[in-house]
Amino acid sequence: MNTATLANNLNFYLVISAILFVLGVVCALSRKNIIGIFMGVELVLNAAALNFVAVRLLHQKAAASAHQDGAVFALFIIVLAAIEAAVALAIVLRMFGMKRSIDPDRMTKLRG
Amino acid sequence: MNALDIFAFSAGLLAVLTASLVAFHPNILYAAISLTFSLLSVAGLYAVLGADFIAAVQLIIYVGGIIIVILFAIMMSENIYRVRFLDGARKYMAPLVFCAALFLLLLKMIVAYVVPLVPNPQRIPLSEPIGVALSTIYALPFEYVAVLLLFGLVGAVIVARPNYKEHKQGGKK
Amino acid sequence: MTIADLLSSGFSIASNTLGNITGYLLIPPPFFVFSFLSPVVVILLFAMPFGGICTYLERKISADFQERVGPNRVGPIGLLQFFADGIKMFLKEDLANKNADLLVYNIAPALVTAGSMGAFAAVPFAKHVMGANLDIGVFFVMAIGSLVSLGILLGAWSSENKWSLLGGVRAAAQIVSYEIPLGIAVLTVVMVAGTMNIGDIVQMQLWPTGEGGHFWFIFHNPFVFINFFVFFIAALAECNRTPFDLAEAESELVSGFNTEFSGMRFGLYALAEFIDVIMFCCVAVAIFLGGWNLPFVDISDIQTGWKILGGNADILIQALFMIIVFMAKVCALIFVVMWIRWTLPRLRVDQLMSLCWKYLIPIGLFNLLGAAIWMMAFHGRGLIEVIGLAGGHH
Repeated sequence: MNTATLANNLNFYLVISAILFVLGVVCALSRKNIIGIFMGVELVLNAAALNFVAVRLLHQKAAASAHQDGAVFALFIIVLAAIEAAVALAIVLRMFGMKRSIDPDRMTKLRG
Repeated sequence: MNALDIFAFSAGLLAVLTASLVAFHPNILYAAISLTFSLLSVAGLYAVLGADFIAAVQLIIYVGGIIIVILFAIMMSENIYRVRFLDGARKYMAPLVFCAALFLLLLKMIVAYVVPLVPNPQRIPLSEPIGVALSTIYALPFEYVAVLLLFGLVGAVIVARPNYKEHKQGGKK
Repeated sequence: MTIADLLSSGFSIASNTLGNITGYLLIPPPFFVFSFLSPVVVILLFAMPFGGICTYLERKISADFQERVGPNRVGPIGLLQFFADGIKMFLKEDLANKNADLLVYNIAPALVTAGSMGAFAAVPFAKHVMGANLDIGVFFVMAIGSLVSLGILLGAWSSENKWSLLGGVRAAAQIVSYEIPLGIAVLTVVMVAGTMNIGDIVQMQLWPTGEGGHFWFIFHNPFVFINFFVFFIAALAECNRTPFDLAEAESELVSGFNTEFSGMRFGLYALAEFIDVIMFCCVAVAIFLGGWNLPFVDISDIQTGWKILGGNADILIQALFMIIVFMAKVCALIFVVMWIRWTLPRLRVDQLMSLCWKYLIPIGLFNLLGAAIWMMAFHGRGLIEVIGLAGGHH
């Protein structure tokens, strides 16, 4: 197999995950909609999971380990993101029911 | 330059472009759809890396679950879609400056660290090794995540339920 | 093989299994890209025409059940009716609401179609005829099939119609909920077989001369037997078929989420629903009902010694027989699906959801546990072997 290609180059995946991470942070910092903030967090989590899997395959020391660490970490990240989405939806629905708005600047009180 | 490269490059490009749409598009529904395609492209990148089990998990859970949840949340908080001048007051400068600095830092780290590469990466089917890992050394995190899922599910149902006092008699079972 | 292997061997004719067959027909070198496109070929040559034929079959079979005649004008017995329907749909005007969100309105039918058709890439029709012999076969089918709910929800929202939105939200909730018992039933078979590769699962069901000595997996365990019915019910609900078609029922919500779609967009929704049905029937036949295997015959033993175009014709003949057996079983299941449609009344949406969460999921989980205990107690042998009828070698 041709080894010096783009698909086997770890830097490619690291750069993509860095770009996704930064775009996720921009999204989470600049959106005025609480669901928009949540979407930024999803992008950040994805970038991290991609990083894990890429390093596991393509980094010499990581690839020498016996267990599929990177893939298992990515699995856990995906599952935890699912839990987080369910809880976030519940909170958004509750807040919308109470305040009729999803602007995060208006959700300032912890109680009610 | 074989088919794998073309696919990896196009998946990466699509992931980055749609992620920028997620961050910058004023319409939140279009941002959610772009997030769908971004997650699809990341699943494609997992497939290129040989972790096609993780790619399928990403498709089922992220695209088939989390995006549906996000779309439900957007559709049920209906005010926002009607407002046409949605994010006109959004302030971009501070986040963009901060994130540009962050990105330059990350790039510097990537460039400075010369990665000891694997000479001939083998892409083996991962379902069995993942199953073995989850049963042996990752058994405890697996159980943690299962219990956490239970807590999250019950908590989400409790938070999202309406108060019974607010409903008239015979409104809810 | 993994998806990465499939992609990187894209330009090599010898590595893809469909390419093996075409290699026997001596296809000249410029067509080597054909092997890379074999999943696409499977989808276009099989899924779409068969989906069209299914629309005709549905009308004829429902006419039989209702003691009327059905379409009989357009061809010998109305056989060209689906051509006529297709031409009609192409020629209709593409309407949209004034406030409809046109970008999303156009993407939605495409997503549903992509979700249903893409899963055909991993379905095995014969031992060497499948789009891609993936190691995560069954899981891939479920993963691509989860794009359907997204398309329905987006289509319902973008049509700017409250009743469409209601139908679409109900349909999306139904599809997402019923993926769980579907996955549990599939997991039962994966646990019994030990692999997610659909081609291997079918080959393990060869009896009596196969390597596992198992007969069809539905008869392996009483627990897998019940989970087949859980799979079937969940698949009916996934495809929005009666008795679970509240989201698109004519008497309920005008037409649910596809009220505002007309012409080719509606055609794509209807086609995607039938192709979904076909796909789930194909997966059910492959993992529960033995795929292309007949009980006492090993089809890959057929040796005729004929030659075709200089190459060996045996593989082609074996593939043809396997495809015939597979399609016969799939057609029987599709007939049962249509039979159920015209027999059972429709479920209300709360009955539908309570069926999923309160009945199918506990039953599925109990049977999963039961199958695991059976595997442990009988060391992986099936009912047939425990009785003593198994042949073959282990």
